[in-house]
This record gives sequence, structure tokens and C-alpha cells, in this order.
Amino acid sequence: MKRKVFIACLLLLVFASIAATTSMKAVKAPRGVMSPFAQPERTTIDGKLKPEKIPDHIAYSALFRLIAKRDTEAEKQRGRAYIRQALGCTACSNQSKPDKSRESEEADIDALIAAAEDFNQQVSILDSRAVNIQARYHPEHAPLSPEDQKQLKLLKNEKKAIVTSIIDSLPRRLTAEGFLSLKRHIKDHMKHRIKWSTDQETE
Amino acid sequence: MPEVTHATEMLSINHEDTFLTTPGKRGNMKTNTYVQSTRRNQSRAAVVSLYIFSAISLIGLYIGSSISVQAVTTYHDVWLAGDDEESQYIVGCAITDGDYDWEYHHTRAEATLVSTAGRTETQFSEDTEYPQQTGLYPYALAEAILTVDENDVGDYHFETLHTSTCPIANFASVNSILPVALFSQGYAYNGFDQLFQEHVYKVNCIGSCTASYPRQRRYNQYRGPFLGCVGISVNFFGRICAGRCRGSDLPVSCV
Repeated sequence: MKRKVFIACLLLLVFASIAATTSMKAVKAPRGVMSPFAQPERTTIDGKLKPEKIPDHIAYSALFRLIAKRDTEAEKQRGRAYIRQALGCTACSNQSKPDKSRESEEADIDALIAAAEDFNQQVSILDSRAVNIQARYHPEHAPLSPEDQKQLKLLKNEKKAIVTSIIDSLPRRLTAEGFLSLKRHIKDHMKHRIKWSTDQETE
Repeated sequence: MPEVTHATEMLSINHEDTFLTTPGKRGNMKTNTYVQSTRRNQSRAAVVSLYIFSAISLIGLYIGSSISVQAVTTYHDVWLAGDDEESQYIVGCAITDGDYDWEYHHTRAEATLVSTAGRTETQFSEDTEYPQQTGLYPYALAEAILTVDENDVGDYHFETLHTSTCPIANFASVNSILPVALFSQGYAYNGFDQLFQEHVYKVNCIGSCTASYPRQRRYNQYRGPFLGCVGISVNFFGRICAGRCRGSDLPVSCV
């Protein structure tokens, strides 16, 4: 009997260890109703370590969030200064290449701001819908209904589609040089400073 | 044995069911052990211990499941702004995007810039919650600003704090026993708040100004890295360095 109890203890210990390890990382959510205690499995990607794992739409979303909705003159100036440096990288990579003309640079800045405002105009509607769903469950945090769960997932996908569409429009909005500089900025600079945790299922 | 089943249920994450049924099972056992031998008593003690062990494991699983990572994107950056040489300033920006996460809908961002001499500027985003209360949206942005001071050169630090949480949901009892430092790489965990923290964003500049600048000033004598060159677009994001090169649109050499 003692031996059986001992074996049972051992088994339980093993199961408890597995359970603890699993729970410290993430918990796989059951299909259907999502309870507050069982959330989708999420992973966190540190762009500093794996910039290639940060998708374009996430990086551009951060860029557009940074640029858009700048109301005061001071806020606008700060935004323009950011873009100016983001688009100006070409000049420092090739000294023999002449600097972009000021007009061209300003036109690219204006075009990128316009793209960010397009993003804001479209995504703010999704933002509102998402927070309206969130509000219904707050503060009790009752289990999320399958319908709302689906809705939030749809909103995420819609947001991704909007961002992707705006990214696709950038070659038409910016000069060729400006677009290349922006791409370089996203790849070599922004993605290194992004941390992204996500439900992989939706990506 | 029931205990093993118990553990299996626990692994299948049926928290509520298993947690509630534990006392009932223990009660049933008592009725079956009215007269017992010493060995039986030992066995019962062991079984009771196993139940306690199971309960502890369940609590551990409960806690663990409530601290899983939330969907959030964070970004931080630093740049130089201001067209006029005399009014240039450094901007440090922190963005937290809740990414339509269900539970942790309250996003915040903090940005702190610290100069070599200790000048400090901290900005907090306006907290964003659901629109019925604030009319705001599920992302947050904070920008800290420090003017460029010729007498305050050297390494600057930029520190950001991004949180994504629900400020009202009552997870406080669980919160007090949550582990700290859940994540290994530059992340800290503070209760049910999801907290990404970049402790010190140490700056290492890689650029330098060429010697061909017409207005070389004492800053060019500085052996450390440079802040970037006024009037020229240099990709110096995230690097706040000592010294400035001034007064020219001549190309710079970026290493």
C-alpha cells in the first residue's frame, strides 16, 4: 500500500510540475467559450532579438499610431521631425548621392502623414467597436461569448487588412527614394524597438 | 486513483469544476473509513496529503492561467526635433497598443528622459479606457521632451513603461502571490498588469561628423559620439549622444 501511495505521490508530483510549467508560460484556451481563466496561447516577440518575426503590419501600425492624430502645432512639429529623420537615411548611406531637395522631402512627409491619417480614420472605427465589446464585459469580466470572441478576431483582421492596404498604397504616395528609406527605417530601425505579444492563431 | 484523475482534470484546465469538487470528495472518503488499522490510517493520511497537494497544484494552475501574456504591441523611440539650432530638443516616445485584447483594455505608456546632468522629464499617456467614460481609444502614447543643452552633453537615458491591464477587475487576491519577472528578456511582471519595462535604454552612437564642417566648434573635439547633425537627416533614432555638429548641409559620414 505504501508503495502505491508513494507511486501516486510521484505521479502527482510529475503532473503538478507539468501543470505549473504549462501555466507559467501560457494556457491554451478551449474552443468556444472563453473564460477569464483560460486565454488563448500567446507568444511575445522581442524585435531586438528577432526583428524578422515582427510583421510589417504591426510595425506600420505603430508608425501610423505615432504620426496620426497630432493636433497642436508642437505635436505636429515633433511628428514631422520623426518622419524627416526616418526618410532621410538614404543621404547618410551614400555620401556621393546628393541630398533630397527640401520640397521633395516635405512632400514625402506630407504624404506619409496623409497615409497615417487615413489609417486613423479607418482604424478608429474598429477601435470604437472593439472597446464597445470590451466595455460590455467590464468590470465583471464574465466569460466572453463566442460571438464577441469572433467579433474581436474579425476586428483584428480588418485592422490588419486596412494597414496592409495603406502599405500597398505607399509606393504611389511617396517618391521612390522616400519609399525605400521608409522601408529601410521599418526593417532596420522600427522592428528592433517593437515588442509584440500575440495570439498566433489570429496572425 | 481519484487523485490522479484530479491531476488530469487540472491539466485539462477545468479549474472551476475540479476546485469545487475537492471538498466533496474528501467528505465521501471520511464516511468510508470509520474503523481503520494503523496502516490504513497512514494510507488515509497520505491520501489527505495528496488532496492538499492537489489543491495547491490547482491554485498554482489558477494563478498561472490568469497571468498569461496579453496581446499588445509596444514601441519606443528617440529623435531630435526643432528646426532652430537654439531651440532643438530631444523627443522620447512610448506607444502601447492593446490590439483589441479583451480583458486588458486599459493601456498606458510612460516615457522618461534623463540627461547626463540629471535633467529628467517624464510624461504619462492619458489613460485610455472604453469610450463611455473617456471617449478615447485602446492605445496610448507618451512623449517626453528635453531641450538640447550645450552644457549638458553625454549619454542620455530613455526609459519607457508600457502597461495593458484592467484596473477594476478584482484579481487582487491572486495578484499578491504572483511571481515577479515572469519573462526572461527585459520584461518584468507586476501582478495582473502586463508590464513591459525597458530599464535603461543606454545610448551608443555610431555616427561622427566629417572634418569638413565649416563651423567646427568645441563639440567636435569631444571624443564621444555625436547627437546628429543639424540640417541633415541622419538616422540617429534611439541614440542620444554627446556633442553636436552644426551649421551645414554637408554630408556626414555615418559608420
